[in-house]
Amino acid sequence: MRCDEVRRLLSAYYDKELPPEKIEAIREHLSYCTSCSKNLDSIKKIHSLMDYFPTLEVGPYFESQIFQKLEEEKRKGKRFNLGLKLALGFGIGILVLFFAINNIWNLSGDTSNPSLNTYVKEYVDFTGTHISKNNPGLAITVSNALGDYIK
Amino acid sequence: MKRNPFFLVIILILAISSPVYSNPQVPSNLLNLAWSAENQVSFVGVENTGIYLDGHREFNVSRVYAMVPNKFRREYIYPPELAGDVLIDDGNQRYYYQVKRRKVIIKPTLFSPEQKQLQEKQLQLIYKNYNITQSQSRFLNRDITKIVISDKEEKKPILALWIDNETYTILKRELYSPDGKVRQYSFYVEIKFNPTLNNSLFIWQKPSELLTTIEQKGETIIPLQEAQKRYPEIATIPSMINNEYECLGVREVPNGIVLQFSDGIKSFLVFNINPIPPLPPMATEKSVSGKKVFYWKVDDIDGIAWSYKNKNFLAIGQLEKNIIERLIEDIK
Repeated sequence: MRCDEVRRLLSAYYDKELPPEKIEAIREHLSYCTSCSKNLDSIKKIHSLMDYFPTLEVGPYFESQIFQKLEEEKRKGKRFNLGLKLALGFGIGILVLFFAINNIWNLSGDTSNPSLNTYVKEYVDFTGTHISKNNPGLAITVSNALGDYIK
Repeated sequence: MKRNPFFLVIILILAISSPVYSNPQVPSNLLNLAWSAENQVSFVGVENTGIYLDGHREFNVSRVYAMVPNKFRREYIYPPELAGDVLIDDGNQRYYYQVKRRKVIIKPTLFSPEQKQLQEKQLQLIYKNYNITQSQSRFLNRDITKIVISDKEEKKPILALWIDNETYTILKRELYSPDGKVRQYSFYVEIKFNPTLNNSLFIWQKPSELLTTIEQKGETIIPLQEAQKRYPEIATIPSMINNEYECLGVREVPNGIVLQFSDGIKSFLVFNINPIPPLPPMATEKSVSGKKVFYWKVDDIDGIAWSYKNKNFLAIGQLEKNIIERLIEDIK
């Protein structure tokens, strides 16, 4: 099992919501992958912190109070509706202006900035001459694996 | 006592057929033959290539086709994110088609005279910087010579190659970390020499679902002296560092250039780019030769970034302390 898949399933694994074969595969992966084990530790920590939160007792008028609050918010919303529309219009105008300026800049020079990963891939490609020559897939695998550290 | 001529003939036949005589290749000759055999033998094989990162293995499995002269094809089988990807080198260009991204990257062939020169240079550096030993063994039911390239001072193995005695094809390779563990490897799981191959396997045909084409023309390697005339900011960088690492050339990369240094096996790259990309969170500030630099290490890969007179530099690779000091000194 690969790290990205394990990470996606870790929370469900902790909550014991997975079928036995997935649990077994993740357990095996965790036996050697320190990075995913650390992620599992973080999930455990979050859950243990959550244990400290007190359980809230809901009072008898809780539901009606909520509906009352919602009605109040709705009335306020109507009062500020026009103001909100104006603010939104202004915001969109600023965004359009920003993108227009950005496009002009792009025409005068390339502003695309590659990430550090692009340069690490160059290194993996170059240094792999003796092993992974003509195997670009390996550089992709390496940069995916290092992607957690280097964006 | 009078010598029997028949007895002498027997001794002569035995001597000629002994392994020492029948395999007279010295390690360096064998390495030359193995390097040049890459485009001289047709074969079909299944190859497993991997790397150990952060203690666990990342690998891919692919079907490989090689046809004389200068034709190569690799079809990825594993892992799932690479499965279906195809690399075709038709002797002029290399096409790497990533099926899931519907993207093709086109680069110059690896069989070009420039690449051959680069290989020869690397071989010279290996002879200069390393010890080479050989032994006879068997791999995939074939007779092979195992070549081990070791550190001259500490005698630690750095690279091992399993070379087929008949075709000189490298059947297995292992690259080691300084602690002696396998760092990278590749080996054929199966291989068949001189099969009948259809030429169409090596012709790139644009798939209908293709979305993106990226042509990387900047792959051309410029000799250091010529690059230094074009880019004065690298004028002070010497062609040799610590009398081991040689600059094999300069290439254009996004937002700048890169200098490729190698001691034959180990290597590092020095980028002169603007701007420097965001550095990883673990990067720490250090002072080297009175200069402020940012240093980080991910797995076995070191990185440093620094600026000098509004020019940004980034070095990535196996960077021993004395190499970092030397680079910073030279760029001053």
